[in-house]
Amino acid sequence: MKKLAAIILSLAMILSLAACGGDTPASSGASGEAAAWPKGNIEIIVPFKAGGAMDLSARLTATYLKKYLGVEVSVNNVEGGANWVGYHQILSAKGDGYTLGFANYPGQVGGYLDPSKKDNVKGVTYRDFTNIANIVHDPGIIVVKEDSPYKTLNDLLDAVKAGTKVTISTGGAKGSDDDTLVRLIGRAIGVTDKDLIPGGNENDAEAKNLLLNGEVDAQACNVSNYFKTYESTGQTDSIRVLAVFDANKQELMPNAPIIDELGIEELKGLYSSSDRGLVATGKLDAAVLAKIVEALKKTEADPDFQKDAKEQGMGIHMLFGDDFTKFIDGVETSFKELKIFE
Amino acid sequence: MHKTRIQDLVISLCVIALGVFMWVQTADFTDESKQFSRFVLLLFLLMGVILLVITLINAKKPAGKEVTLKEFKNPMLMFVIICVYVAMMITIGFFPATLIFMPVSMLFMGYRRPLPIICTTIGMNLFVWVLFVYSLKVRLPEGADFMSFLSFLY
Amino acid sequence: MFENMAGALSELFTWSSALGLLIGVVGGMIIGALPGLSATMGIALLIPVTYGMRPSAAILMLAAIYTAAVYGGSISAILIHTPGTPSSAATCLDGYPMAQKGESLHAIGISTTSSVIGGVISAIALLLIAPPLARLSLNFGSTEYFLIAVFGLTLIASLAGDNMVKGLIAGTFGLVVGLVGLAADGSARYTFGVTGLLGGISLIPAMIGLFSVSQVMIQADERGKEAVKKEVVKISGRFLPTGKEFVHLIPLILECSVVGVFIGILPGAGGDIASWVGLNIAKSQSKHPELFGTGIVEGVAAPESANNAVTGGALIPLLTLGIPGSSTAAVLMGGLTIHGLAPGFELFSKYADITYCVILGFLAANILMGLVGWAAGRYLTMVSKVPIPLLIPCIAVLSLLGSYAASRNITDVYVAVAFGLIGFFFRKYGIPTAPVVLALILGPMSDKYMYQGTRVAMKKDLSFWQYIPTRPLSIFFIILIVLALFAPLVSKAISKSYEKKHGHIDAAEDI
Repeated sequence: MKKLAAIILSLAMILSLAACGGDTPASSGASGEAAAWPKGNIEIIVPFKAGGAMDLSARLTATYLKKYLGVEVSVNNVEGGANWVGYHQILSAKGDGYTLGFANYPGQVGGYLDPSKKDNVKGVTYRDFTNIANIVHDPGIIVVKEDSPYKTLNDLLDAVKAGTKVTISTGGAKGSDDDTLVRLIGRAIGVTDKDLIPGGNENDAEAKNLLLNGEVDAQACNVSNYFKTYESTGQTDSIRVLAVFDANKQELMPNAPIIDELGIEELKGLYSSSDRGLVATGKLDAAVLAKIVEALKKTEADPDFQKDAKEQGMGIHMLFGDDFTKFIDGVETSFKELKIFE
Repeated sequence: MHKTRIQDLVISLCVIALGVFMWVQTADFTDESKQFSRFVLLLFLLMGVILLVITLINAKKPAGKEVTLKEFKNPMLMFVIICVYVAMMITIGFFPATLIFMPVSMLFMGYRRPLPIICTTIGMNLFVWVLFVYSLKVRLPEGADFMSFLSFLY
Repeated sequence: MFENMAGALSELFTWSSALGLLIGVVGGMIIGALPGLSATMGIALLIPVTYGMRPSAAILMLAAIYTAAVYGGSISAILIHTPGTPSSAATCLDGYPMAQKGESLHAIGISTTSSVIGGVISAIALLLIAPPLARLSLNFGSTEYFLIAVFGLTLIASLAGDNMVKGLIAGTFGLVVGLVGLAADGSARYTFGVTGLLGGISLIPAMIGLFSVSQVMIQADERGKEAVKKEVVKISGRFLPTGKEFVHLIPLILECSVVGVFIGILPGAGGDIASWVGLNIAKSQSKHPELFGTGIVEGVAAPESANNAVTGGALIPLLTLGIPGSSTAAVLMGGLTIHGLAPGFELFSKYADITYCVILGFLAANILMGLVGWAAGRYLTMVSKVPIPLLIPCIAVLSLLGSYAASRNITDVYVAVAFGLIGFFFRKYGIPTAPVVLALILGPMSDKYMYQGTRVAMKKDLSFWQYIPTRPLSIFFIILIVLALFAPLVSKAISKSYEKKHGHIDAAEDI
């Protein structure tokens, strides 16, 4: 019995300690400290698993932040909670600039707009973050197998309009950029998701598998998924890119047609992409923010950075401040207009 | 009813209760999610009902060995110690928590020789530090803010 | 292929490759033996370390970690009833009883022998038949993968032990647990507002809880007893199997290895599933299936040869098609990308030197793994000599650490503790815990493929169930499932009638 009492006592002690810990106010980065920033090591929280596309982008960014800030920049993968454990950790960090984070779009926006995740996300939106800069821009593409009857995007759209049901595999369920792209096309040409059917696949590898075994007609994915095979052969071994949904020709896929040059009136200006950017808590000190932006601008101009990014299939398109915010706002608006979560 | 059958009766009732509780929640799910969830819950409930029926039919016969309450005392105390350890991990950080937890649980288990206790405790912490913190660069729980003076460890 | 061998060999016999190989094997064994550090995690954690290495040495190291970790997992499964990786969960069932009988050295020896044979066979398969085999799996679609998951679930019946209903309760409980998190359409369910549960209940912490935290609790009952202070077991016996034993085991090991290679090729199905399938094969062929779980060598040899055979198999679709054959292979793919190697035809043409160096090195890694295990086996078993009161806190610390380090998410530690309690009650009341783990893997998989199949079938205005019979390969899998479902019932009926004839009826048995 004595032991039990001791255990209960120690439990009570620990709980009181925890309560004290909670009361300690988070010291906000005072301006005097910000002038000397950075003094110590910087940590980037990546809410995705190691080895994935998000992780690679964050690590490349970390390498060049280290080069231009002169301190160690480490990447810490915090998985779990469909990325929201990591996002919450980024938000709860101090505003002293020693903890930054990586976010992806439209994934983040799709996460907090989904009503079934409301309780888990706890009311966070992109507005709660300091959105420092967008870094990687990976435009959406639609591909078919080489031997597909659909030689051009127009062929495919004509078939849908004529009443053929067409399935397009996607590297993510509702709220992912691939799924949204298919729905945006469907809306633009006036058909529902019962006619132009998004596949709702879990990842790009599965989506590719379904395309190759002929269960679906096309795959919605991103430039980075196919640029390697594309680079070596002009066309890929068994894949044809029907369209790149971006305003600009892609350096990684120079021969693939961009949507605006295909002359499809309904789809003019329909752009889609997966974007990855550097963020921090909303409390981030303004002087520190300015220093990070300066370092990123130097990074963007660095030819080594551009070369490394190209080798790993990352299209770089940096957006800062209001431009970045406006971009995320556009993503949010398109979700709301599509009403996919209703 | 035979003593050992009461255990099975409780298990089957727990299964049915959990199944019904989760079934009620499926009402708000999307159609796709609802379909699979209800299919799985149906199987789960079915198993619970089958166990209930078997238990009631064979109520008089013994089933397996009886589990006495005494068997739960030490494991439950150990469980409480583990819970306290987890609570300590998030408040005072991984290494201090482990330095306290290991000797306490060894003493709890009835081991009294100080040297092996100290060696194992220190050895374990060193091992974890070298492998996880130093080589693999895993960030272990550092505890609340007031423990930040130990942050060089992580 | 052979014209590339010279280049591959000269690439392999460089200092950096040899060093990568050795670090991979030894490091992989340690990572695998530590509960909670799986092969997947080990590779994910070490990818950043390979940044500065030559591509061949880097990929070689990662592949060596993969196979050595899967082998290493059996060591802790045997010695402390805690699977070091999910692939060794099945090995606990017979490996630990062997250790309790004082045959831990022999159990590790059997595991080493079977792992090496399984690994070598998978490496040869990778070398010789990679492209044609990969073409076969290319024909598998959503319905086939769904049926593969269902096929896996039918194994629960054979894992259930003597009380079928309780085994099935455990299995369906695993399916229910698998519902938590994201549904296949991306919506959330049963998360109760806990952010950490949005991604579902992760396999690794749940498994650590069910197997090892519950073990800590059960061992706590030894508190203060005389047995605690005494040495637990005398370690005796030989490491390697005897000649007679080897002849007896080799057909089983070979069969499990071939099956393991095929399971490895299938995306989504990894060593965790293969080891259960291997155990099932051993059981169905044994003249004494009732002896499984009491500590017999077949129960170690079968799962351990199957799970190591998966490693090479999983690399086949990864290297040829860019489709990872297991979750570990998926992480390995990240390692390839970092070094600018895109899976596909280029790997076998432009980068053939690197690719064949990795494949040959993988073969060497499997042999080296056996040598290291042989040399270290006797020292590893010392673990069973450590008094229980000293060992228990170490297991507890490693378990909680392992569940945290997997994703650095504190919710996973709570999950491990909660599943420890669940596992403890299950074991006390005779509900097997193994089916929970199997169902936790296969439940979400069947949900996902059912959803994908439903979407694909919409194109033809069919429901998912109408769509299945339109695919010939699916019909083949349905036949397999029916056979798997009825084989145990038939064999049970036969043994029942046999028992009746001989007047032996166990009163305590219900079904």
